[in-house]
Amino acid sequence: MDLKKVKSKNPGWNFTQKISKKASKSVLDSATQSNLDIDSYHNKYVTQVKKKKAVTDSADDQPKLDDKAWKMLIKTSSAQNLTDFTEDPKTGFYDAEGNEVASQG
Amino acid sequence: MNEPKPSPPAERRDSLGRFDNLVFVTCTAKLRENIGRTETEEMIAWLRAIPHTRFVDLPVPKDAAEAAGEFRKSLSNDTRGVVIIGGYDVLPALQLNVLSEKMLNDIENDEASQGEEWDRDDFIVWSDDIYGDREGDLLPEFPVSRIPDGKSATLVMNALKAPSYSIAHKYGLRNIKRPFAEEVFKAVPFKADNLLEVSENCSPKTMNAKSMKGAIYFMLHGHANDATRFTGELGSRDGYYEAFDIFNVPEICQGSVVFTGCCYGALVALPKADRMEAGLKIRARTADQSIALAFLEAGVSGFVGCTAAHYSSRIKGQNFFGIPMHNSFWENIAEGMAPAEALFQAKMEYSVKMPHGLTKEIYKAVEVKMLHQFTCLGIGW
Repeated sequence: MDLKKVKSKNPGWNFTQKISKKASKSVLDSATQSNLDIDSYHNKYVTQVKKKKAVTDSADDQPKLDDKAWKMLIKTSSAQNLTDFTEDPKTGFYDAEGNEVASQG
Repeated sequence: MNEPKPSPPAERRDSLGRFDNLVFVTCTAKLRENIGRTETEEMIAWLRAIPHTRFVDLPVPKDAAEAAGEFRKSLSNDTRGVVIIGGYDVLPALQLNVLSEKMLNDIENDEASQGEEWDRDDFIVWSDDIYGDREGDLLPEFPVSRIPDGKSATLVMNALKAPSYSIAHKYGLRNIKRPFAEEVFKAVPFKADNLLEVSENCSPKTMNAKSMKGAIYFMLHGHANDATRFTGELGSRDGYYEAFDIFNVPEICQGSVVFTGCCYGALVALPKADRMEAGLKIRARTADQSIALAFLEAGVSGFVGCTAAHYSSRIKGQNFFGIPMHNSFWENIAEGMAPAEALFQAKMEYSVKMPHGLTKEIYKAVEVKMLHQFTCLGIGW
Protein backbone atom coordinates (compact mmCIF):
# COMPACT_ATOMS: atom_id res chain seq x y z
CA MET A 1 0.00 0.00 0.00
CA ASP A 2 1.42 3.29 -1.09
CA LEU A 3 1.03 6.35 1.15
CA LYS A 4 0.94 8.51 -1.98
CA LYS A 5 -2.22 6.72 -3.09
CA VAL A 6 -3.80 7.27 0.32
CA LYS A 7 -2.96 10.96 0.16
CA SER A 8 -4.31 11.31 -3.35
CA LYS A 9 -7.60 9.58 -2.42
CA ASN A 10 -7.91 11.57 0.81
CA PRO A 11 -6.72 15.02 -0.29
CA GLY A 12 -7.77 17.09 2.70
CA TRP A 13 -5.91 15.09 5.33
CA ASN A 14 -2.47 14.79 6.83
CA PHE A 15 -1.15 11.41 7.94
CA THR A 16 1.26 10.69 10.70
CA GLN A 17 2.69 7.83 12.70
CA LYS A 18 2.29 7.22 16.37
CA ILE A 19 5.64 7.87 18.02
CA SER A 20 5.41 5.12 20.61
CA LYS A 21 3.69 1.94 19.51
CA LYS A 22 3.47 0.22 22.87
CA ALA A 23 2.11 1.22 26.24
CA SER A 24 4.67 2.40 28.76
CA LYS A 25 6.02 -0.10 31.27
CA SER A 26 4.33 1.68 34.17
CA VAL A 27 0.94 1.37 32.44
CA LEU A 28 1.55 -2.25 31.52
CA ASP A 29 2.54 -2.96 35.12
CA SER A 30 -0.67 -1.36 36.35
CA ALA A 31 -2.97 -3.18 33.88
CA THR A 32 -4.16 -6.78 34.03
CA GLN A 33 -2.94 -8.66 30.97
CA SER A 34 -5.38 -11.05 29.33
CA ASN A 35 -4.31 -14.65 28.91
CA LEU A 36 -6.92 -15.38 26.25
CA ASP A 37 -6.64 -16.06 22.54
CA ILE A 38 -9.42 -15.85 19.95
CA ASP A 39 -10.35 -19.53 20.39
CA SER A 40 -10.92 -19.03 24.13
CA TYR A 41 -13.76 -16.62 23.40
CA HIS A 42 -15.37 -18.94 20.88
CA ASN A 43 -15.07 -21.99 23.10
CA LYS A 44 -16.50 -20.25 26.14
CA TYR A 45 -19.74 -19.14 24.52
CA VAL A 46 -20.46 -21.28 21.47
CA THR A 47 -22.77 -23.74 23.23
CA GLN A 48 -24.72 -21.01 24.99
CA VAL A 49 -25.13 -18.96 21.81
CA LYS A 50 -26.27 -21.92 19.74
CA LYS A 51 -28.77 -22.86 22.44
CA LYS A 52 -30.37 -19.43 22.32
CA LYS A 53 -30.11 -18.67 18.62
CA ALA A 54 -29.82 -20.84 15.56
CA VAL A 55 -26.28 -19.72 14.79
CA THR A 56 -25.00 -21.67 11.86
CA ASP A 57 -22.17 -19.47 10.67
CA SER A 58 -19.10 -19.98 12.77
CA ALA A 59 -16.07 -17.72 12.40
CA ASP A 60 -14.63 -20.17 9.85
CA ASP A 61 -17.73 -19.99 7.64
CA GLN A 62 -17.60 -16.23 7.18
CA PRO A 63 -16.26 -14.79 3.94
CA LYS A 64 -12.67 -13.67 4.29
CA LEU A 65 -11.98 -9.98 3.81
CA ASP A 66 -9.15 -8.71 1.65
CA ASP A 67 -7.60 -7.06 4.69
CA LYS A 68 -4.07 -8.29 3.94
CA ALA A 69 -3.94 -5.37 1.49
CA TRP A 70 -5.16 -2.85 4.05
CA LYS A 71 -3.03 -0.54 6.10
CA MET A 72 -3.75 1.12 9.41
CA LEU A 73 -2.66 4.79 9.47
CA ILE A 74 -3.24 7.75 11.71
CA LYS A 75 -5.13 10.60 10.13
CA THR A 76 -4.56 13.97 11.74
CA SER A 77 -6.93 16.89 11.50
CA SER A 78 -7.92 18.22 8.11
CA ALA A 79 -5.11 19.93 6.23
CA GLN A 80 -7.67 22.33 4.79
CA ASN A 81 -8.77 23.27 8.28
CA LEU A 82 -12.40 22.67 7.37
CA THR A 83 -13.42 21.94 10.93
CA ASP A 84 -15.59 23.54 13.57
CA PHE A 85 -12.78 22.87 16.02
CA THR A 86 -9.51 21.00 16.42
CA GLU A 87 -9.99 17.25 16.35
CA ASP A 88 -7.94 14.41 17.83
CA PRO A 89 -5.93 12.34 15.35
CA LYS A 90 -7.89 9.24 14.31
CA THR A 91 -6.91 5.80 13.10
CA GLY A 92 -8.05 4.84 9.60
CA PHE A 93 -7.78 1.66 7.53
CA TYR A 94 -6.90 2.08 3.82
CA ASP A 95 -7.11 -0.44 0.99
CA ALA A 96 -4.51 -0.99 -1.75
CA GLU A 97 -6.01 1.83 -3.80
CA GLY A 98 -5.79 4.28 -0.90
CA ASN A 99 -9.52 4.31 -0.11
CA GLU A 100 -10.50 4.56 3.54
CA VAL A 101 -12.43 1.34 4.26
CA ALA A 102 -12.85 1.77 8.00
CA SER A 103 -11.82 4.16 10.73
CA GLN A 104 -12.24 5.26 14.28
CA GLY A 105 -15.78 6.25 15.20
CA MET B 1 -42.66 2.15 -1.59
CA ASN B 2 -42.64 1.94 2.21
CA GLU B 3 -40.29 -0.61 3.72
CA PRO B 4 -41.92 -3.21 5.95
CA LYS B 5 -41.62 -2.27 9.60
CA PRO B 6 -39.67 -4.66 11.85
CA SER B 7 -41.75 -6.65 14.29
CA PRO B 8 -42.22 -5.18 17.76
CA PRO B 9 -40.22 -6.74 20.58
CA ALA B 10 -41.48 -10.04 21.87
CA GLU B 11 -42.89 -10.26 25.36
CA ARG B 12 -40.47 -11.46 28.02
CA ARG B 13 -40.01 -15.17 27.63
CA ASP B 14 -39.74 -15.96 31.32
CA SER B 15 -41.92 -15.33 34.29
CA LEU B 16 -39.31 -13.50 36.36
CA GLY B 17 -39.97 -10.03 37.67
CA ARG B 18 -37.90 -7.19 36.26
CA PHE B 19 -35.30 -7.20 39.05
CA ASP B 20 -35.58 -10.80 40.24
CA ASN B 21 -32.22 -12.46 40.99
CA LEU B 22 -30.18 -9.33 40.34
CA VAL B 23 -27.25 -8.60 42.63
CA PHE B 24 -26.58 -4.93 43.42
CA VAL B 25 -23.06 -4.17 44.57
CA THR B 26 -21.27 -1.08 45.81
CA CYS B 27 -18.73 0.08 48.36
CA THR B 28 -20.76 2.31 50.67
CA ALA B 29 -17.65 3.65 52.40
CA LYS B 30 -16.62 5.24 49.09
CA LEU B 31 -20.10 5.98 47.75
CA ARG B 32 -20.88 8.09 50.84
CA GLU B 33 -17.94 10.35 49.98
CA ASN B 34 -19.45 11.01 46.57
CA ILE B 35 -23.19 11.32 47.16
CA GLY B 36 -23.53 11.84 50.93
CA ARG B 37 -24.12 9.63 53.96
CA THR B 38 -27.88 10.14 54.29
CA GLU B 39 -28.43 9.75 50.56
CA THR B 40 -26.44 6.50 50.57
CA GLU B 41 -28.51 5.12 53.48
CA GLU B 42 -31.74 6.04 51.65
CA MET B 43 -30.52 4.30 48.52
CA ILE B 44 -29.63 1.15 50.46
CA ALA B 45 -33.05 1.11 52.11
CA TRP B 46 -34.67 1.46 48.70
CA LEU B 47 -32.60 -1.40 47.28
CA ARG B 48 -33.24 -3.69 50.24
CA ALA B 49 -36.98 -3.24 49.72
CA ILE B 50 -36.84 -4.74 46.22
CA PRO B 51 -37.93 -8.39 46.51
CA HIS B 52 -35.84 -11.28 45.19
CA THR B 53 -32.63 -9.24 44.89
CA ARG B 54 -29.37 -9.15 46.84
CA PHE B 55 -27.41 -6.17 48.01
CA VAL B 56 -23.66 -6.54 48.57
CA ASP B 57 -21.54 -3.92 50.30
CA LEU B 58 -17.84 -4.54 49.63
CA PRO B 59 -14.97 -3.24 51.76
CA VAL B 60 -12.78 -0.58 50.13
CA PRO B 61 -10.84 -2.57 47.53
CA LYS B 62 -7.24 -2.20 46.41
CA ASP B 63 -8.23 -2.78 42.79
CA ALA B 64 -10.87 -4.34 40.55
CA ALA B 65 -9.41 -7.83 40.76
CA GLU B 66 -9.58 -7.81 44.56
CA ALA B 67 -13.13 -6.39 44.57
CA ALA B 68 -14.35 -8.90 41.98
CA GLY B 69 -12.64 -11.76 43.81
CA GLU B 70 -14.51 -10.89 46.98
CA PHE B 71 -17.75 -10.25 45.11
CA ARG B 72 -17.57 -13.59 43.27
CA LYS B 73 -18.66 -15.33 46.49
CA SER B 74 -22.02 -13.57 46.16
CA LEU B 75 -22.78 -14.96 42.70
CA SER B 76 -24.84 -18.10 42.46
CA ASN B 77 -26.41 -20.31 39.81
CA ASP B 78 -29.63 -18.33 39.88
CA THR B 79 -27.94 -14.93 39.54
CA ARG B 80 -29.37 -13.15 36.51
CA GLY B 81 -27.20 -10.06 36.44
CA VAL B 82 -24.97 -7.68 38.38
CA VAL B 83 -25.58 -3.95 38.87
CA ILE B 84 -22.60 -1.93 40.16
CA ILE B 85 -23.52 1.29 41.93
CA GLY B 86 -20.87 4.02 41.90
CA GLY B 87 -18.15 5.25 39.60
CA TYR B 88 -14.66 3.84 39.07
CA ASP B 89 -13.57 5.64 42.25
CA VAL B 90 -16.15 3.65 44.25
CA LEU B 91 -15.69 0.20 42.69
CA PRO B 92 -12.79 0.14 40.22
CA ALA B 93 -13.22 -1.05 36.66
CA LEU B 94 -10.60 -3.51 35.43
CA GLN B 95 -7.77 -1.88 33.49
CA LEU B 96 -7.50 -4.67 30.95
CA ASN B 97 -4.68 -5.17 28.48
CA VAL B 98 -6.56 -7.32 25.97
CA LEU B 99 -3.38 -8.45 24.22
CA SER B 100 -2.30 -11.75 25.71
CA GLU B 101 1.27 -12.91 25.17
CA LYS B 102 -0.05 -15.34 22.56
CA MET B 103 -1.88 -12.62 20.63
CA LEU B 104 1.15 -10.34 20.83
CA ASN B 105 3.36 -13.15 19.48
CA ASP B 106 0.84 -13.85 16.71
CA ILE B 107 0.99 -10.19 15.65
CA GLU B 108 4.77 -10.15 15.75
CA ASN B 109 4.95 -13.34 13.68
CA ASP B 110 2.32 -12.26 11.15
CA GLU B 111 4.08 -10.78 8.14
CA ALA B 112 0.95 -8.91 7.06
CA SER B 113 0.73 -7.19 10.43
CA GLN B 114 4.21 -5.72 10.20
CA GLY B 115 4.61 -2.00 9.61
CA GLU B 116 1.06 -1.35 10.78
CA GLU B 117 0.08 1.48 13.04
CA TRP B 118 -0.85 0.55 16.58
CA ASP B 119 -4.19 0.94 18.34
CA ARG B 120 -4.87 4.44 19.71
CA ASP B 121 -5.39 2.98 23.19
CA ASP B 122 -2.54 0.45 23.06
CA PHE B 123 -5.25 -2.24 23.37
CA ILE B 124 -5.89 -1.29 27.01
CA VAL B 125 -9.50 -0.64 28.04
CA TRP B 126 -11.67 -0.19 31.13
CA SER B 127 -14.03 -3.12 31.61
CA ASP B 128 -16.65 -4.05 34.24
CA ASP B 129 -17.16 -7.60 33.02
CA ILE B 130 -14.93 -9.02 35.76
CA TYR B 131 -17.83 -8.47 38.21
CA GLY B 132 -19.89 -11.01 36.25
CA ASP B 133 -17.02 -13.46 35.89
CA ARG B 134 -17.64 -16.34 38.27
CA GLU B 135 -15.06 -18.66 36.73
CA GLY B 136 -12.19 -16.17 36.97
CA ASP B 137 -11.19 -16.39 33.30
CA LEU B 138 -11.91 -12.71 32.42
CA LEU B 139 -15.00 -13.78 30.46
CA PRO B 140 -18.30 -13.11 32.26
CA GLU B 141 -21.11 -15.58 32.86
CA PHE B 142 -23.59 -12.83 33.80
CA PRO B 143 -24.56 -9.44 32.37
CA VAL B 144 -23.01 -6.50 34.21
CA SER B 145 -24.23 -2.91 34.26
CA ARG B 146 -22.96 0.10 36.19
CA ILE B 147 -24.62 3.22 37.53
CA PRO B 148 -21.74 5.69 37.91
CA ASP B 149 -22.70 8.09 40.70
CA GLY B 150 -21.48 11.25 38.96
CA LYS B 151 -21.18 12.76 42.48
CA SER B 152 -24.98 13.04 42.54
CA ALA B 153 -27.57 11.14 44.55
CA THR B 154 -30.20 12.40 42.12
CA LEU B 155 -28.40 10.76 39.21
CA VAL B 156 -28.12 7.46 41.11
CA MET B 157 -31.78 7.38 42.15
CA ASN B 158 -33.02 8.48 38.71
CA ALA B 159 -31.00 5.67 37.15
CA LEU B 160 -32.14 3.09 39.71
CA LYS B 161 -35.78 4.04 39.28
CA ALA B 162 -35.59 4.32 35.49
CA PRO B 163 -38.60 2.60 33.93
CA SER B 164 -38.09 -0.08 31.28
CA TYR B 165 -37.65 1.18 27.75
CA SER B 166 -40.59 1.46 25.44
CA ILE B 167 -40.31 0.89 21.74
CA ALA B 168 -43.04 3.28 20.74
CA HIS B 169 -40.42 5.58 19.23
CA LYS B 170 -36.91 5.48 17.85
CA TYR B 171 -34.37 8.14 17.09
CA GLY B 172 -30.90 8.00 15.56
CA LEU B 173 -28.10 10.31 14.54
CA ARG B 174 -25.26 9.19 12.29
CA ASN B 175 -22.08 10.50 10.76
CA ILE B 176 -22.63 11.20 7.06
CA LYS B 177 -19.60 8.96 6.38
CA ARG B 178 -21.15 5.95 8.13
CA PRO B 179 -23.94 4.82 5.78
CA PHE B 180 -23.99 1.33 7.32
CA ALA B 181 -25.90 2.88 10.22
CA GLU B 182 -28.96 3.09 7.93
CA GLU B 183 -29.12 -0.71 7.86
CA VAL B 184 -28.60 -1.00 11.61
CA PHE B 185 -31.31 1.58 12.26
CA LYS B 186 -33.84 -0.34 10.18
CA ALA B 187 -33.51 -3.24 12.63
CA VAL B 188 -34.10 -1.02 15.66
CA PRO B 189 -37.59 -1.93 16.88
CA PHE B 190 -40.30 0.70 16.78
CA LYS B 191 -44.04 1.10 16.48
CA ALA B 192 -44.61 4.74 15.63
CA ASP B 193 -42.13 7.59 15.15
CA ASN B 194 -38.73 7.00 13.68
CA LEU B 195 -36.11 9.48 12.64
CA LEU B 196 -32.47 8.91 11.64
CA GLU B 197 -30.74 12.25 11.28
CA VAL B 198 -27.48 12.68 9.40
CA SER B 199 -24.67 14.95 10.47
CA GLU B 200 -23.81 17.37 8.65
CA ASN B 201 -27.43 17.82 7.62
CA CYS B 202 -28.32 18.46 11.24
CA SER B 203 -26.43 20.09 14.09
CA PRO B 204 -26.92 20.77 17.81
CA LYS B 205 -28.80 23.93 16.87
CA THR B 206 -31.31 22.25 14.61
CA MET B 207 -32.02 18.87 16.13
CA ASN B 208 -35.36 18.14 17.71
CA ALA B 209 -34.75 16.82 21.23
CA LYS B 210 -38.43 15.94 21.55
CA SER B 211 -37.85 13.13 19.04
CA MET B 212 -35.22 11.61 21.28
CA LYS B 213 -37.00 8.83 23.13
CA GLY B 214 -37.56 5.10 23.00
CA ALA B 215 -34.76 3.38 21.13
CA ILE B 216 -31.92 5.89 20.60
CA TYR B 217 -28.92 5.18 18.35
CA PHE B 218 -25.79 7.29 17.83
CA MET B 219 -23.10 6.50 15.23
CA LEU B 220 -20.70 9.44 15.56
CA HIS B 221 -17.20 10.40 16.70
CA GLY B 222 -16.63 10.70 20.43
CA HIS B 223 -13.64 12.14 22.28
CA ALA B 224 -11.66 10.95 25.28
CA ASN B 225 -11.03 14.37 26.78
CA ASP B 226 -14.39 15.94 26.04
CA ALA B 227 -17.44 13.79 26.72
CA THR B 228 -19.88 16.65 26.09
CA ARG B 229 -20.05 16.38 22.32
CA PHE B 230 -20.21 13.91 19.47
CA THR B 231 -19.09 14.88 15.97
CA GLY B 232 -19.79 13.86 12.41
CA GLU B 233 -17.87 14.57 9.23
CA LEU B 234 -18.34 16.86 6.28
CA GLY B 235 -19.99 15.13 3.35
CA SER B 236 -18.32 16.57 0.29
CA ARG B 237 -15.15 17.91 1.90
CA ASP B 238 -12.68 16.64 4.48
CA GLY B 239 -13.18 17.75 8.03
CA TYR B 240 -15.35 17.30 11.08
CA TYR B 241 -18.69 18.77 12.00
CA GLU B 242 -20.30 19.16 15.41
CA ALA B 243 -23.28 16.84 15.57
CA PHE B 244 -24.53 16.53 19.13
CA ASP B 245 -24.01 18.53 22.28
CA ILE B 246 -24.71 17.59 25.90
CA PHE B 247 -27.35 20.34 25.95
CA ASN B 248 -29.32 18.28 23.42
CA VAL B 249 -29.91 15.53 26.01
CA PRO B 250 -33.54 15.87 27.07
CA GLU B 251 -34.10 16.74 30.72
CA ILE B 252 -36.41 13.74 31.03
CA CYS B 253 -35.79 10.74 28.83
CA GLN B 254 -37.50 7.90 30.66
CA GLY B 255 -38.58 4.78 28.85
CA SER B 256 -35.49 4.88 26.63
CA VAL B 257 -32.44 2.78 25.81
CA VAL B 258 -29.36 4.31 24.13
CA PHE B 259 -26.70 2.58 22.02
CA THR B 260 -23.62 4.51 20.90
CA GLY B 261 -21.05 3.50 18.32
CA CYS B 262 -18.87 6.45 19.35
CA CYS B 263 -15.26 6.40 20.56
CA TYR B 264 -15.11 6.81 24.33
CA GLY B 265 -18.93 7.23 24.45
CA ALA B 266 -19.14 5.39 27.78
CA LEU B 267 -15.86 6.62 29.28
CA VAL B 268 -17.16 7.96 32.61
CA ALA B 269 -13.82 8.87 34.18
CA LEU B 270 -10.30 9.91 33.31
CA PRO B 271 -7.60 8.92 32.67
CA LYS B 272 -8.48 6.56 29.86
CA ALA B 273 -7.21 3.08 30.56
CA ASP B 274 -3.97 3.30 28.57
CA ARG B 275 -2.89 6.31 30.65
CA MET B 276 -3.59 4.83 34.08
CA GLU B 277 -0.63 3.95 36.24
CA ALA B 278 0.08 3.46 39.93
CA GLY B 279 -0.43 6.61 41.97
CA LEU B 280 -2.77 8.36 39.53
CA LYS B 281 -6.17 9.36 40.85
CA ILE B 282 -9.37 8.45 38.99
CA ARG B 283 -11.29 11.60 38.14
CA ALA B 284 -14.95 10.73 37.83
CA ARG B 285 -17.15 12.71 35.46
CA THR B 286 -20.46 14.28 36.39
CA ALA B 287 -23.71 14.62 34.45
CA ASP B 288 -22.54 18.09 33.36
CA GLN B 289 -19.39 16.59 31.85
CA SER B 290 -20.64 13.46 30.13
CA ILE B 291 -23.41 12.79 27.62
CA ALA B 292 -23.70 9.25 29.02
CA LEU B 293 -24.25 10.46 32.57
CA ALA B 294 -26.65 13.18 31.40
CA PHE B 295 -28.78 10.46 29.79
CA LEU B 296 -28.70 8.41 33.01
CA GLU B 297 -29.77 11.43 35.03
CA ALA B 298 -32.59 11.92 32.53
CA GLY B 299 -33.81 8.41 33.37
CA VAL B 300 -32.80 6.09 30.51
CA SER B 301 -32.78 2.42 31.46
CA GLY B 302 -29.51 1.70 29.69
CA PHE B 303 -26.71 3.52 27.89
CA VAL B 304 -24.41 1.22 25.95
CA GLY B 305 -21.09 2.40 24.58
CA CYS B 306 -17.31 2.05 24.52
CA THR B 307 -14.67 2.98 27.06
CA ALA B 308 -12.02 3.41 24.34
CA ALA B 309 -11.73 4.04 20.58
CA HIS B 310 -14.43 2.39 18.47
CA TYR B 311 -13.77 1.34 14.87
CA SER B 312 -16.27 0.80 12.07
CA SER B 313 -16.50 0.37 8.33
CA ARG B 314 -17.19 3.29 6.03
CA ILE B 315 -18.73 0.96 3.50
CA LYS B 316 -22.32 -0.24 3.52
CA GLY B 317 -22.82 -4.01 3.70
CA GLN B 318 -19.68 -4.79 5.71
CA ASN B 319 -19.86 -6.55 9.06
CA PHE B 320 -16.66 -6.31 11.09
CA PHE B 321 -15.15 -4.30 13.97
CA GLY B 322 -18.03 -2.52 15.78
CA ILE B 323 -20.88 -3.24 13.39
CA PRO B 324 -21.77 -6.82 14.46
CA MET B 325 -22.20 -5.54 18.02
CA HIS B 326 -24.62 -2.84 16.85
CA ASN B 327 -26.70 -5.35 14.88
CA SER B 328 -26.80 -8.00 17.61
CA PHE B 329 -27.66 -5.52 20.34
CA TRP B 330 -30.71 -4.15 18.56
CA GLU B 331 -31.82 -7.64 17.46
CA ASN B 332 -31.73 -8.67 21.11
CA ILE B 333 -33.67 -5.57 22.16
CA ALA B 334 -36.22 -6.48 19.48
CA GLU B 335 -36.55 -9.86 21.18
CA GLY B 336 -37.49 -8.14 24.43
CA MET B 337 -34.21 -8.37 26.33
CA ALA B 338 -33.21 -5.75 28.88
CA PRO B 339 -30.25 -3.54 27.83
CA ALA B 340 -27.65 -5.34 30.01
CA GLU B 341 -28.93 -8.71 28.82
CA ALA B 342 -28.99 -7.58 25.18
CA LEU B 343 -25.38 -6.40 25.36
CA PHE B 344 -24.24 -9.58 27.13
CA GLN B 345 -25.91 -11.73 24.47
CA ALA B 346 -24.43 -9.52 21.72
CA LYS B 347 -20.96 -9.97 23.24
CA MET B 348 -21.37 -13.75 23.34
CA GLU B 349 -22.47 -13.75 19.69
CA TYR B 350 -19.55 -11.48 18.78
CA SER B 351 -17.14 -13.84 20.59
CA VAL B 352 -18.37 -16.82 18.62
CA LYS B 353 -18.10 -15.07 15.26
CA MET B 354 -14.76 -13.29 15.77
CA PRO B 355 -12.78 -12.32 13.70
CA HIS B 356 -15.66 -11.63 11.26
CA GLY B 357 -13.65 -12.46 8.16
CA LEU B 358 -10.54 -10.49 9.14
CA THR B 359 -7.25 -12.30 8.58
CA LYS B 360 -4.52 -9.97 9.85
CA GLU B 361 -3.55 -10.75 13.42
CA ILE B 362 -3.50 -7.09 14.45
CA TYR B 363 -7.04 -6.58 13.14
CA LYS B 364 -8.18 -9.65 15.07
CA ALA B 365 -6.76 -7.96 18.16
CA VAL B 366 -8.81 -4.86 17.33
CA GLU B 367 -11.93 -7.05 17.40
CA VAL B 368 -10.96 -8.47 20.80
CA LYS B 369 -10.61 -4.91 22.03
CA MET B 370 -14.04 -4.02 20.60
CA LEU B 371 -15.55 -6.91 22.52
CA HIS B 372 -14.12 -5.95 25.90
CA GLN B 373 -14.68 -2.21 25.71
CA PHE B 374 -18.45 -2.23 25.16
CA THR B 375 -20.20 -1.64 28.47
CA CYS B 376 -23.70 -1.05 29.79
CA LEU B 377 -24.32 1.99 31.99
CA GLY B 378 -27.53 2.53 33.94
CA ILE B 379 -29.64 -0.06 35.69
CA GLY B 380 -29.69 -2.09 32.48
CA TRP B 381 -32.88 -4.00 33.43
